[in-house]
Amino acid sequence: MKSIWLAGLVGVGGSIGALMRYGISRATVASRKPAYYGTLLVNLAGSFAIGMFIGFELESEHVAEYAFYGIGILGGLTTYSTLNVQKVTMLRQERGRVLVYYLAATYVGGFGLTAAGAGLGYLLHT
Amino acid sequence: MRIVVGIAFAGFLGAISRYGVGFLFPRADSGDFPWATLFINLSGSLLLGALAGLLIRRRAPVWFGEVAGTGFLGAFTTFSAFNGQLWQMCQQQAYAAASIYALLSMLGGWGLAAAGLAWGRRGAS
Repeated sequence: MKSIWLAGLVGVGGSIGALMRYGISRATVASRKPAYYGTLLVNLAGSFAIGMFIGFELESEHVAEYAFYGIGILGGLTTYSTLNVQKVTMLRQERGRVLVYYLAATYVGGFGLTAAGAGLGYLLHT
Repeated sequence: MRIVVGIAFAGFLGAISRYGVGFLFPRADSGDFPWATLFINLSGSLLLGALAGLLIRRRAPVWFGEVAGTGFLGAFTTFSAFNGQLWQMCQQQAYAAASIYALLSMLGGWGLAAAGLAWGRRGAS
């Protein structure tokens, strides 16, 4: 079975994605922006890229590349746990308006960018 | 520098764990419900909430928060796969399943992160 080899690609990709997310988080703090700016950036960028991969049909046509770039790097770059803890924190601190904007930007923006990425991917693929 | 190495290693483990959990659930190929990603994102949110609570009480060192939180749980959970699956479910016109998946992810993860935070702040023992 070559699933061990694929798991290794996923792991190395996840390592790179996590380091990219950490770097962006450090840069966000260094530029005195709120931490959720960094989370929003990685989640939106990752959502657009996964859409492109779906459009390219990477998962079925290029299994190893999808494991590395899609499951590894994009999965490691984007995060859902941090997003949920930020939602809790914003609600506790009664920053309702920021919370609404953040939710809209994350979920509407994320899904919209996946759709846009998929559309662009289909166009470039054929 | 040690934190960077720790995050790289924890990110490796987080992504591998996510990949492994995918094999424990029925394959989400053709319009099937993405149980694996839902489980990953919900459990990761609970654990990161608990970790944040421990960090607030200073019961865990900062480097551990970065390595376990940013490294492992950040790489374990995923937002790109969530949106990718949601898009594919919509493509297959499985709108009811897509709505349930979106709601469970949005509200369930939120509630579990809050529960984890309360648990971590109060102390597990």
